[in-house]
Amino acid sequence: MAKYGRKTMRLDTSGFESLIRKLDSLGGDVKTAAEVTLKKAGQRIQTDTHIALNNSYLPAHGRYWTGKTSESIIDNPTVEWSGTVASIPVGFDFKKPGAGGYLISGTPKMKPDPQLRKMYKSKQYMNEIQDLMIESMNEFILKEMEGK
Amino acid sequence: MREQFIALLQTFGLPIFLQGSLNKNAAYPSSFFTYWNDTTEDNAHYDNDAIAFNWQFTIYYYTQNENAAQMDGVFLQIRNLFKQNGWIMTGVGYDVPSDEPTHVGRAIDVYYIQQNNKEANNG
Repeated sequence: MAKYGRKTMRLDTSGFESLIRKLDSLGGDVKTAAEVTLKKAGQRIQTDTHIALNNSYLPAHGRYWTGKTSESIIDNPTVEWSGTVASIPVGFDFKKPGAGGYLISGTPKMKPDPQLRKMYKSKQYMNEIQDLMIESMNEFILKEMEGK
Repeated sequence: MREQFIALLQTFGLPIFLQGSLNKNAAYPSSFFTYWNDTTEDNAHYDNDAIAFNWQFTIYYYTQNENAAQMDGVFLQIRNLFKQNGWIMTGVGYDVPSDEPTHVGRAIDVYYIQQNNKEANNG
């Protein structure tokens, strides 16, 4: 039976919590800041995932392209709250048909998509997303410190 | 580094292929490994050169035997073997898709910090 692998991309939020506490202590709108920041991260990942499906990166250079994998990319993700924890879905919606899982891991007969691989497996990409989130939070903190 | 990596995998006595290298019409062996080298990033720099390199490989294991205990056992053995040989391991693997309905797949990421020994490399 064929099985699917990693379905989620984990965002490293270390270093992020202290910024939230700082914004909170300044009386800032933490909820809005967290939502805006997560949306920025989600949109960046959405854009990069679409780019990673360009024919030049696909293992067969688009010979078997059907468009279904592109359709399974999570577009315009919305932030969900569970108590005080905010999350945002990113990458592929594996409930939809598509080859996202295969393109990330590759198979014995198909090489992985190098761009997706960079996104899902390298620390460098996650560090870039983390920097983007920290920059976004710092913008909110700066606004509070400047009295808006 | 790749040689040492493959030599360690060979101790399991199973076929080893580069991920994506099997012929389209080839039948899968009953159990086998594939691998992929994800990165060889510089670790840190000194005197305008890398002090060390971070090697990251993914080991894939595909098998017809869907027995969970057997599968977990293989990955514990991989973990222990590579760790004993100086590799850095995280966890005991994760499921990956198999494109053949007869096989299941599982993978683990392994890391090695290789010192940039210029004298040895040049000699």
